[in-house]
Amino acid sequence: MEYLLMLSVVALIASSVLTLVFMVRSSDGAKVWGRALLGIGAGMLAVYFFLQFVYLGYFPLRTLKDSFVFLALLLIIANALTIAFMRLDVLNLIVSPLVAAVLLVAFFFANNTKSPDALVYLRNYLAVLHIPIFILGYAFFIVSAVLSIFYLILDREMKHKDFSRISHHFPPLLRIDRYINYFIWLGFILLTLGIVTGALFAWQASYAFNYADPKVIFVFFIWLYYFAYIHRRMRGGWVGKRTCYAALAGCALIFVAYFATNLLFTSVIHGFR
Amino acid sequence: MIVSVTGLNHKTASVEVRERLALSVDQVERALSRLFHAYAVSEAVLLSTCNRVEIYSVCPREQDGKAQPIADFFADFFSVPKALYELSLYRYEGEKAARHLFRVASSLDSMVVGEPQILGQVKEWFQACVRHNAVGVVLNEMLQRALRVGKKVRSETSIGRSAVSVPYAAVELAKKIFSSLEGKTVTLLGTGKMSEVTVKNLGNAGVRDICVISRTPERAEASAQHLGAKPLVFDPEYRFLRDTDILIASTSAPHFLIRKDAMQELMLARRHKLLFIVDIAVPRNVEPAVNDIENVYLYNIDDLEHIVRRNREERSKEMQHADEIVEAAVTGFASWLASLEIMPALKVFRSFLEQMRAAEVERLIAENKHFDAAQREKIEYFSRALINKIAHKPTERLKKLASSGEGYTYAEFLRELFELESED
Repeated sequence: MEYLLMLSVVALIASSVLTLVFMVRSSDGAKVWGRALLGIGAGMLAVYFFLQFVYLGYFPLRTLKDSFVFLALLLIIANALTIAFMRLDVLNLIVSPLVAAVLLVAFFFANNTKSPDALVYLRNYLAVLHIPIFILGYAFFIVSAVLSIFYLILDREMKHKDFSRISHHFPPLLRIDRYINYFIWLGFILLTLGIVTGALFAWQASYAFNYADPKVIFVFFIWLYYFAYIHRRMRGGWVGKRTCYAALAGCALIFVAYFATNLLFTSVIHGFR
Repeated sequence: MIVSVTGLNHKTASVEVRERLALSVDQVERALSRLFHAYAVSEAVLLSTCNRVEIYSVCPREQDGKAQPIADFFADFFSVPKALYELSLYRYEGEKAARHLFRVASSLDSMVVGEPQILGQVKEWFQACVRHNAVGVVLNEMLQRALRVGKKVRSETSIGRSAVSVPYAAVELAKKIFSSLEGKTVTLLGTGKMSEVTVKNLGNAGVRDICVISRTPERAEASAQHLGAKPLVFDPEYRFLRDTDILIASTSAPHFLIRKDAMQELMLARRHKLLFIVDIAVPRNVEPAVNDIENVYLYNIDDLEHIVRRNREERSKEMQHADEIVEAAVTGFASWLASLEIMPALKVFRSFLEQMRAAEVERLIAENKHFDAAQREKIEYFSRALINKIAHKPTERLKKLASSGEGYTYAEFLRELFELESED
């Protein structure tokens, strides 16, 4: 099954290259093939994940590698949906290589497994609900950060009056700003739902909330961070570059939390050893 | 059959001439009817825009001598002296006519290269002529190919992508900032020809709310009335900019009217809402440092002209690529056209062979009455296969030779060689 992952990496990188060709040369053929390869790459990842599910008989999150693969899958789905509904092909320039990188990194963590006690919980329906909601929320936050990069590039070009061939395909600044905000909202809603389902699961499993779990603490900080951002945005004044910096900092926080709570400050339920 | 284009355009004729020869869609039926009756035309497509008047036509190779040259059509139809336009007229035939049409549809022959309207105009006139049954096989193919080439040039090159005039460049930049210009507010600080054209372009792009600022209420009122805008009076705290999305400054003030420090205060009051400033005044009205403020994008006349210059250079580079697309299409059409010329002769040649075969088979069967049904069928099959094999090579070869543009000569040669009657 591993070859499916490798083929997916190849398809996603090729898709990103074709998107670049489309941006530079305005080739419709490259755009169509780029989208097709993105679909193929996402399809292969989905098939890999489904086969793992069938093979193991429970939600396939046995190793840290599985966790990365699942993050990659949801990230690429978020990317594909954004391209399909918002015509933001430009997103593929960064998201596909990012997903390919996540998949390549995943191979290094094939031996970091969950404890046998935690594996039992992967058969619980609340856990099965909690994990995808959480990771999809992260995927949306990452997409918002990627969009922020495009905003910052276009803002710089607008200020310096020097436009590249690629930026012609970027959406207008105000629209990117709005999309960033949408994705942060989506991520925040999912993060909140993830926390609720996680709390319910903890209560169901042990009649207690895991206040001391490092992941719970980190996630609480992430939630607070985005709550503060949304509050500021709704009060007004947080438009443009400020939104971008907030989205990028939030994304950095997520990556730190992800690695820290999965490798350094691990717990029985959340960690991989 | 000769396919040709006869007409004049902005390069060959002045607007005074073009406007006297311009056709309207209402005149299509009458014009076509005149062309078909007096000019021995078998197919025709008219094209009349503000920059050109052209007649694409197909005429039989040999005309009966009564037909007038298409060049006379304009004098005849519009009742104008031929001398008015004679020197401005051009006429291209065959491949050159196709090249001309493909360049027109691709906007390579337009006054502003890359302008998007021409493709729609070609389509509109073509459809009008189709509705009046004036289009046959040749012009249908040529126009369909032209529309495809036009689309291809637009999608595969960036020829029509960027603005090549200062007002339009300002509109394009505004579109890069705001997702849509609908519902946006434009404030005009001073009025002038270029700022009015820019406002008009912004209006075409959807802007509805326009304010005009002046030092005195009377002057503001006068300028606003002229533009159908709201009059406002200048105040040093720029309160008039609180809800503005686009500011166009073009006063004759000898100093900066908009300064960075006051602008920074204003941006706080605006809650950092994006602001696009176009300063087309000389001397400038807006302090250049305003561009350093977050979410403010300031462009002066030099910036816009620099963008326009670069876009023009970009367009000329893209023209080479566009020309390659046009040339490939011309080659394809020329080859199709040439093969079309040999087709009637080949049809007659095939029919001649078939008649000969049928007669020989009939004679053989009449002489051998003892042949049963199966044997007769075999003879039929064999004779057909033999004829097909013999005819295949010369047919393919003739089609290929015809594509070099000598289709008519080869068709005549074939007719001569086998003493073939014409298809009619």
